[in-house]
Amino acid sequence: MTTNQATAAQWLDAIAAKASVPVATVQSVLDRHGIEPQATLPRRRRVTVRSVTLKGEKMGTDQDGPFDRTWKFGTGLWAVLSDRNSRGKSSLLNVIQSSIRGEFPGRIKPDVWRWLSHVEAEFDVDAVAYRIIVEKPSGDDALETVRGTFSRRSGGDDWLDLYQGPAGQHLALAVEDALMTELAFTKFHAFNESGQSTTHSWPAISSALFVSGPGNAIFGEIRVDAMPLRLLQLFMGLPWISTYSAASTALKRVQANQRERRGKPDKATPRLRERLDAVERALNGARRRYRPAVDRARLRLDLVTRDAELVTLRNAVDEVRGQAGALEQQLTGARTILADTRRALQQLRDDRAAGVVFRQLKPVCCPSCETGIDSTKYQAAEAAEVCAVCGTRHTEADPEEAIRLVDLEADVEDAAASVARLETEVATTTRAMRAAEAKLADALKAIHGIEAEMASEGEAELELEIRGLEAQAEQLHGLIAETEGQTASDAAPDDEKILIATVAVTKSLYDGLAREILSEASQEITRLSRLFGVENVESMEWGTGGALSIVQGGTPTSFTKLNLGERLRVRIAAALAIIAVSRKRQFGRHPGLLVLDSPAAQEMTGVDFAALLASVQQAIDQTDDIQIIVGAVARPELRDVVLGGHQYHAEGDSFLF
Amino acid sequence: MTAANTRGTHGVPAGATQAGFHHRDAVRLLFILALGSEEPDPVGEGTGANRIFRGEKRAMAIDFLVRYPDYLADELLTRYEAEGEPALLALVEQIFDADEPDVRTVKMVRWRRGAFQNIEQPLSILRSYGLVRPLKQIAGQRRHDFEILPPAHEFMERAIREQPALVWYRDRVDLVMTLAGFRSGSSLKDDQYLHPEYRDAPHGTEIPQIKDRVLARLKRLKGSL
Repeated sequence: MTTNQATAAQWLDAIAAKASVPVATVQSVLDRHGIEPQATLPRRRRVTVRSVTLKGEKMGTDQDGPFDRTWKFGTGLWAVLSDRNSRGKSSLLNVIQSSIRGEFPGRIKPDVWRWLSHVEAEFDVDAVAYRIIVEKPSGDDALETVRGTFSRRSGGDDWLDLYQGPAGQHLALAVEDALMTELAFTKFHAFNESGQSTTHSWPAISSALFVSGPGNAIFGEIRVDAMPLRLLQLFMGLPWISTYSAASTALKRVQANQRERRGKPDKATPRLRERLDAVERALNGARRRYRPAVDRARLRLDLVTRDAELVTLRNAVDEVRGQAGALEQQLTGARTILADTRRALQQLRDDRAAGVVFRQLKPVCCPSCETGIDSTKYQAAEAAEVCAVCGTRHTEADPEEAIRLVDLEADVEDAAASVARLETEVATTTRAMRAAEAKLADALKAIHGIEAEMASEGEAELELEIRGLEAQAEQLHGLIAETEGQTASDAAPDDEKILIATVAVTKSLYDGLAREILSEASQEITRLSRLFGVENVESMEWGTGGALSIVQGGTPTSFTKLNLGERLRVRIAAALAIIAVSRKRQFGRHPGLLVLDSPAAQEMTGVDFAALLASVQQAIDQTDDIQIIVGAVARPELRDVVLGGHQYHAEGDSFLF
Repeated sequence: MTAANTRGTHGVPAGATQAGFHHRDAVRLLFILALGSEEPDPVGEGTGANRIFRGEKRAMAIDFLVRYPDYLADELLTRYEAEGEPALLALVEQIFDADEPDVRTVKMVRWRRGAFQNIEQPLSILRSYGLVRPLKQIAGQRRHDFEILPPAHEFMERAIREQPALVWYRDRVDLVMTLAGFRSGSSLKDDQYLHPEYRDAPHGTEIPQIKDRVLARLKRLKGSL
């Protein structure tokens, strides 16, 4: 069985074989404990910070006063620079971190936090735009006054609010839920010996995207629970990780219960009963919180399909609107022509009629000078068939005029027909336009419905939790029954045996691959650390236990034993190494965002800093759509690397905001 | 469309455009002068017995209302608002039902002193056929008056009998006379200036129609019945 290409079916077969039980039994045990095979990976998603806006009023400084600034970012390398220290760079980067985590004030310094009245950040996860807005009175830092809004763009300038309310835990949860779903990360469970389980979620994962100092862990913030390693694995995107995690957690739970049972028999039953009560209480609590599961994967797929349809529908509306507009214009023109033609016809008719009656009269005087006309002149003229006034030979009434009249009548008919035809076309097109608009409105409504559904509290975790608790309860029932002398139900399969097999099989699936990747990561971190100026590093090895074994100057050491400067460099090296290795391996799942604050803080020489930047640039060149934001004191080396339009520079003494 | 393209925009014979519809204009002017005329002064101009139409300005003002059915309709609605006579509303509806603003409008050009149309051509036709005589100005008078000669009355009756299409002109002038009566030309002109479209029309351009506005006003007034 190849490590990374095993299917769920092959996995089940392997477990069944190892535990010597039928596949169906394996399936039912795994179902009860909420263990699902994760053989394939969702594709990589990219997080990109798009803009940050800070508004507020500075107080208690030399330069008090209101501020209102927006910084825009895109993919690639971006630099936030100042010529002096303490000019707001870190604050801006801290705001970015707070926004990505939905945690305010987070790392924002208390004085800066007090100044702020409005924080707004927009970031994309691939093509989906999210926006977080936090508002509070400037000059105030009481948490009760802080309000947060977290929204997702639903088209054009419309935003769907996923959360609106106090900017505390609930805001963070809303952000967590959205981003964990978008990035398709599952929470880690860690289950330690005393039976407590902790869940690590977005805060832990996103912390790995920010490097702002020497830190306590090479990757992220948490050193325990082998977090750095697990984060590494998460970003590497090894398949089967979460399955392994769920299986080993379930196994530990089951084994803890077994140990209880194997303890002193007379004490076992009460203790088991105690535990059973605790489990059943937890189960009831969980069941009360449970609502029908939201099938996120299906909803997300649905959303993607409908989003695509939306584009088509919008285009259709635009097209038919354009047609309707053009036809309306034509109709107006045609109506004008009709009116003009009818008017011309009327005038011609009237003038003809008037002419006929006038011409029956005989002029009595010259129109110009009022000289009378002699009646004898008329008699002579009639005889000669000429006009008495001007002598022109009489002609028949101009036949041309009659033809003109007929033609004009025909023109009126044509114009009227044109108008009628256009009126029909306009009506038809208007109907089509209304239909297209209605379709678009329906599609938008459907999308909003799905978004609302997805925004509701995720039930996936709860479901697994319930299943896990149910399994525990059942097992405890069985154990109690045994110790009380009742025949153990022969229906209860040996969960422990199957879970052991599951853990072993799952582990072997990714073990080889994980080892390879760890080795690559170790090499890359070593190379980069040396490049950035960590002295005398002979080797850095990332063990499967999660610790980084370092040999420096011939002496074995560890991350925490490095000095501050070295730790910072190693952290940056680790961040870049992850990106590099996950790019090489097709299933890298790093969100493509890295924020480095003051990477040169710990007395990095110009040479080392240039090397660091070159590595950063290389990471960008080799990986698509990645965004690295560096906050630093302006140095000449930066100028060579950062594009002109991709930097914000507070020059001289000035502040970033 | 048949020969429209060779004949200018509206199928009007090119020759007619340049020469105008003088006979039609003459008929219209005749009805205005005749129906708006009054008994002569016992003492004064004219040959004693013939009716006189007083004031070219007045003639122009009446002509304006004959030529712009929509402005006429607006005046009728104003009178309706003042007097409440339903027959007035009915008249306005008839004007719109017959599409008169589209079919019967003969535009006038707005000059410095308002709508003005040189009446020399139609007047010379009326004069040469012995139907109307412009009166010479008496010293001290700035007004142009016109004498209606006896053949005019018989001519008008015959015209209507033989060319029923021309009835419209008589009926329309009658209607306008009910509004204009014997008010002075200046007073009638002042009313015209109340319309912003008229007042604000740039000099030398045709006075625009106000059909849509009047239609809306009609609907409003009908609706409030």
